[in-house]
Amino acid sequence: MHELTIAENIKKTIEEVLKDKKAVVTRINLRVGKLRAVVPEVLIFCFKFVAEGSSMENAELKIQEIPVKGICKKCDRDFVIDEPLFICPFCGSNHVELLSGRELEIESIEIEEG
Amino acid sequence: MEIKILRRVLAANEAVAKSNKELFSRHGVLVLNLMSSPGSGKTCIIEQSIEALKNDYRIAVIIGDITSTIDAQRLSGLGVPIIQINTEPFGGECHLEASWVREAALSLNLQDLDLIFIENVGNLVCPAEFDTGADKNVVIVSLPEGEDKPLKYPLMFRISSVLLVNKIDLASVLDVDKKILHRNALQVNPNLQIFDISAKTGEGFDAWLKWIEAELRKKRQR
Repeated sequence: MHELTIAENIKKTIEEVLKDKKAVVTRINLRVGKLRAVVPEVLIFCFKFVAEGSSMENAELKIQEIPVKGICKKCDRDFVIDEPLFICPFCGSNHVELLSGRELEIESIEIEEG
Repeated sequence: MEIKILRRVLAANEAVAKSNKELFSRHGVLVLNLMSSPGSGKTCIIEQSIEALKNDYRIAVIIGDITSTIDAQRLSGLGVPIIQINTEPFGGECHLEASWVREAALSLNLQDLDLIFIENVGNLVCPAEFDTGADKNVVIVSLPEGEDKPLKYPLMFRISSVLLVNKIDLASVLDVDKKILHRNALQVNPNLQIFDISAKTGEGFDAWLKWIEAELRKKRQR
């Protein structure tokens, strides 16, 4: 249930950004890497719960899932990793560095100023 | 109106974890964060490791547990400082956050310590997300859990430096192939150091303890 903590942190981060600005948040655009093991439905559920009564209670949580990508340190080629095998599909090396998949960030928010 | 903000959601935790690292470095304390599923033997491994090392090093334990103090009570006979963090009285968080670890660490006399074991909450998902600021992450899998844990929880194995395969004394009665478990773990993270151990019989502990001592020396030289 790390989704609950993540939801609380999303709310806190947006409050910091908006400070005293009077605005209704209508949409939150999130980028979540596949390696984060975040279940989108659970995060949306948790966010509804923590946002209740705030200016973002009706905001739509838009979750963009980011694929896990790696680059081979031997042959320098990059590729998408679909299963948890961190092995280069070109040369078979296991010296694979991650290019993406660990994102957990708020890209932008959409607001209506009141 | 759209506002670009580009903020990492767990930035606050990451910042505290970083300052924990600085705090531990300043005092020359080696901090090991032990993570596993419930029942893999974290407490028992810590217990046995402390027994073996406590005459030569000054050790403390930070224990995270959702509600109980059972593990803390169990370790209290060892005669080392133990700080218990209950994440929620009615079954709350499933991981330790950097700020709680910081609070626990600050209640210890860090200048009088060489080594701190953090016993994280039993869970292979959430603790991987929340950096505690420990020097090294250690993941434990017990043999009865099977061969595929690294494939199911890749992030946990990616962020760890050491894999302890515990309960190897049960190998003869289990249909689990240790070699396949090793191979799966190394596929996820080729840099993992793997030690096969039994906290019950003490088998394999020498190599694990040697690793800790080598890390303690590295920490002191810094």
